[in-house]
Amino acid sequence: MANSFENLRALVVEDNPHMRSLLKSLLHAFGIKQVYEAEDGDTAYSVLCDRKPDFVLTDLSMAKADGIDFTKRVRTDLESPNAYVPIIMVTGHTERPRVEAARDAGVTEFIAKPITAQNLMLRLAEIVERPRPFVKCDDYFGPDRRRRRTENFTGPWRRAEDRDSEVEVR
Amino acid sequence: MSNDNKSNVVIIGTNEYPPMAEGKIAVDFLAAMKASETAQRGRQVIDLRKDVITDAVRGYILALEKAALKFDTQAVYDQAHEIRGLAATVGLEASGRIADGLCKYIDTASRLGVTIDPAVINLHVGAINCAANAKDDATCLGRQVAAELSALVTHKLAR
Repeated sequence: MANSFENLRALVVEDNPHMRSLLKSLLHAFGIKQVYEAEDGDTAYSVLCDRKPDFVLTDLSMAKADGIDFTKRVRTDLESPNAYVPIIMVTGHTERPRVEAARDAGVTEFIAKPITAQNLMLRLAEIVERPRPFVKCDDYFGPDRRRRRTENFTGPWRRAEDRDSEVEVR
Repeated sequence: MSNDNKSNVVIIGTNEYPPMAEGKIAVDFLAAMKASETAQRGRQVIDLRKDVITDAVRGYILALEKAALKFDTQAVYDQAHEIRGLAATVGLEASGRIADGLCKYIDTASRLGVTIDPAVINLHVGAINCAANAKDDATCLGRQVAAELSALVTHKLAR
């Protein structure tokens, strides 16, 4: 981990050169100086192994290996350098099946395009301020997918841990 | 780490894996991500790229029109997807919204095995082009067109 937030390392995975360049410039403007780039999931995985970024922004659709394949590989590959790395999916896909597939691959947060400085900053703050527990089961490894916060909910609870865990909705 | 034996689920708590940032780094990072100055710098970055990205969107619209002429639905989807991702970032909100509607139509029709209607594609492509060239893209006219096209898509898919 870096000893100053300016030394945090980011990886931007995006096949559209304009969006990739925009995301990189936004991160620089936010004060993050080390931003690595990749235009597909396979290249991104190599960069992840070499550079060990502290967080990842990835597109969903890419020609060679897409954001879902990449996320699954990061989360489940036995040789993954950091299966817990925060992965923010920046996507124009609003079709429910695609979003659910990305969530089930283990992404940490979503940002729907169009990208704005504010929504990127919000998501980056979110992954530091409110990290989520990870869940490991037969068919999933990744951040806890339950996002519902019901302030006045007193039960019934699905699991004993639910009493103590904060569950959010957005 | 807790283990739910019944469902074979292991919960790994947030203090059981390495954080992205902690201590002073996390505090400084959060302060920066919540600062209005940071947001202002971000908006300036987008403003500086507005012309380049707008030109790129116009290029995707040209490619979209060519794909629609050939009724190459995959290429239509691909170009519309690029447009919906970039257009609204530079203020072409109606174009982005109509492109999003076109993507949803192709995606849903493909998944349901419904025949894709070239007329629906052509209406969307024409509207995306008009909206991108209109001076009043952000006005209610563009939103009205997007809403009516969305209603058309819903009607077609319902049939």
